[in-house]
Amino acid sequence: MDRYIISSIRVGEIGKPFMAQPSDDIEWLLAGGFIQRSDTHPSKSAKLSEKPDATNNKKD
Amino acid sequence: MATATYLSNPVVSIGAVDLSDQCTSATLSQKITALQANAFGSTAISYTAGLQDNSLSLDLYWSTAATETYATLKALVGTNIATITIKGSSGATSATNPLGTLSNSFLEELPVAYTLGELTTVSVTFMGGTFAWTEA
Repeated sequence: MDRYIISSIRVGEIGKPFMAQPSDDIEWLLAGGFIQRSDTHPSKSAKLSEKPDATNNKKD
Repeated sequence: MATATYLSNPVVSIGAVDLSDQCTSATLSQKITALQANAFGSTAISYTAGLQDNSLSLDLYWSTAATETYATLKALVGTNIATITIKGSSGATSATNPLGTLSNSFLEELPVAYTLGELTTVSVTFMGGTFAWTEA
């Protein structure tokens, strides 16, 4: 399933995923520059050697 | 008691594209053609409902910037638009702020008016299609 990202404030908040409705003309929205295909797939988070908040949780 | 509505922030969207900030006027006509249904013996004209003949006319500024009026409308001429919605206020849809939806209307022309000393405008009319109000 294609994913789309909002690229114009006319369809929502820029950068947010575009939730297409059945009546939406995706090709028209793409051609007009209102949305764009997301070329990134959800990926696993980078592995860190230490949890980011690990130091904050250390007790004295 | 008469009431008046000061129309300050209506919302009009063509498909998912909100063109409210380019729109200065919208005229919605929810119409059902009246068909005469008379016969011998009739003493007065009577009508029955025919086909819907709805339309929505919009006056818009003709902005050619990215994702503005031009980008929205240029590919729609001669096509049927799945949905166009309009309501009087940006607030939640309700019985006092109903959302009108014109579905599958046709855009015949894109008449752009270039006038010296004035902002360029376009007046479009979406013709036909089915219309419904939503209150929730």
